[in-house]
Amino acid sequence: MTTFTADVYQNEFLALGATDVDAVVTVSASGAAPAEAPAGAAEIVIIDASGSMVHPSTKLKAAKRATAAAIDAIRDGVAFGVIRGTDLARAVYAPDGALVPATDETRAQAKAAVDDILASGGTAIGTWLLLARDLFERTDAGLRHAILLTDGQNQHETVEELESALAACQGVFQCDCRGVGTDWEVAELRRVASALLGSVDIIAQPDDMAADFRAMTERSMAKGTADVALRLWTPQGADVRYVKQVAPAIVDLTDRATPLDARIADYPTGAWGDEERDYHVSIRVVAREAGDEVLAGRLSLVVDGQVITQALVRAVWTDDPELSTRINPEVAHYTGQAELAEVIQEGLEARRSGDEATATFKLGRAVQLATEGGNEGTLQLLDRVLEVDDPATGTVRLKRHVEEVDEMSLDTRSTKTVRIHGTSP
Amino acid sequence: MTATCPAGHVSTTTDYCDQCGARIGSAEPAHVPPDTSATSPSPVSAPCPRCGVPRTGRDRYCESCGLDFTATASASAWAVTVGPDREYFTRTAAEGLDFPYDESARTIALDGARVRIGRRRPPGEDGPEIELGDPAVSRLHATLVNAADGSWAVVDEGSSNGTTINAQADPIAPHVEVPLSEGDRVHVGAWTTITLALRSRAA
Repeated sequence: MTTFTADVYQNEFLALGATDVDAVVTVSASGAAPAEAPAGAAEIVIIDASGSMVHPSTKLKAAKRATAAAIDAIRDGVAFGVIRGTDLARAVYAPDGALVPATDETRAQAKAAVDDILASGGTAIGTWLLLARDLFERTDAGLRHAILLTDGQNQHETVEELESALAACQGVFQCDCRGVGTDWEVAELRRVASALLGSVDIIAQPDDMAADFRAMTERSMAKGTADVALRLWTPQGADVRYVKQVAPAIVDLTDRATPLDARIADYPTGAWGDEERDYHVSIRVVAREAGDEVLAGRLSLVVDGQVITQALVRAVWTDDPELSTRINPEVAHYTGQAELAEVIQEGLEARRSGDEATATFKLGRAVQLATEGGNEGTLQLLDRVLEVDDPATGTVRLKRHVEEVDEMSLDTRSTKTVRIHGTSP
Repeated sequence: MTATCPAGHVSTTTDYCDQCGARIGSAEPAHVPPDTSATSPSPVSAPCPRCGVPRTGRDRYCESCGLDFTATASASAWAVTVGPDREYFTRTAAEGLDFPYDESARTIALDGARVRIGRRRPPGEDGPEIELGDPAVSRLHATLVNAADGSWAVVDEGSSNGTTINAQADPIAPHVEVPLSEGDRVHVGAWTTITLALRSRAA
């Protein structure tokens, strides 16, 4: 039985006339991990087999090994399949057009089928996702997870086609995305991952792929509770400015709201194992008199239509500046983490368009924020594209020569956050 | 249980007003995901194996080309030519493979109810009837199926890279019989084309 707890971190005191209430909510789940094979789980590996996957040939070979490693990590009884993606999608392993429960025999059959995969043709990620959706929908599994690997841009379909595929897949399954090499588009894959509540990362070296695929599958196997929603009630006259997951990575959920009535909306959070995640909620309320208190938000978690825990975000107006100017450390930390992701993406964009002044300024700010936030991993990545003169003030120079893989790693991992004491959740 | 907030709202929550949020002290709709089920394709009836014109009733001879259906039902009426196909190889644009110029086509008589097409097995292991060295052919790639009227159809067995017919761009759906006529070309793997031929009636 899964237990969720939610803790709120905020400074509830607002100056007179102030309207914006910010809070960080830490949600932790325990007892969510399945002891045995998760009944009703399904897993699909989508492997890019476009012609470029054999340039160099190590890419496709590594992808096949990685897919085999993922298949080996699928627990007995979990329904699974493999899709070969080119400008078409093909179920390489889904006997009789359906996912099959994992056994030693089916795992071996699937690995043999993967081994046969030939690289040819183009890339149309939307069609791959739609086939995965069809296969998932033929199962009664509640926990549905896919791994998508690509090495190139989505050239064989339009942005609209991809968007309509994403809309059709949202809520049907979650998908972790990986890009191998440097010919894929970070923003494009980030869009796919965030729409399907998954992670995105770069695999710089084909040889690293197998360990990563195994780890992703193991994480997926550790999920025990599907389709958890974050429900937010706000009072009359209030506006939700944003709802973001801020740890382990930034995922903006604001536009994903499903309104239940004028004051209540549900935000999807996907499947949970035993884990902690942090959310930053920002609500604009109507200002009140000194001493007035209102509830700015009531957050709860909803599993199978049951509300299982709740947390209160409060607002108290005061004329005491001592109280209203206090900075809540959690809110400040995650405000910095969100800005960090933003300035990295904007800085790299400016660098690509040749605007060195903006790039230097934005990436300098990124160094400063990463130093303050304790983002060790991000600092190392920044170090590969910058000469850092003074991290505290963000004084930096752009390196003349930057490896493309370093720039893409920085971009891809910009949304990865650390928690307040510098640890990963 | 309800409470009344300082502003006079009746609230179902008793800690704070469920309307204006004022301090004082839930019903949840069910959320059911939509269910869509898959449909399976319907079978296709076999046309004349030689010219493709639909067969009417239980006619012995084809209305169009005069083929004697009873004659074709006998064993060895049909054969396939199997070999590397340069044009198909160029079309698939299989990366990282070289075309096997030294491999020539062979003719295999079709016998029995099912003729399997698949990857060549190591010596000593039982393989499919049509064994191929093509690296992009799956272990069991496709099966040629002899229909009751003596004509042949092909079924893709869920192969990794698919089966196409007559240079079409889209592969056929797996596990669905696709009727074949004389001269139809079945493409598998990176370069292999299998052409269906009607042998001389004298054979």
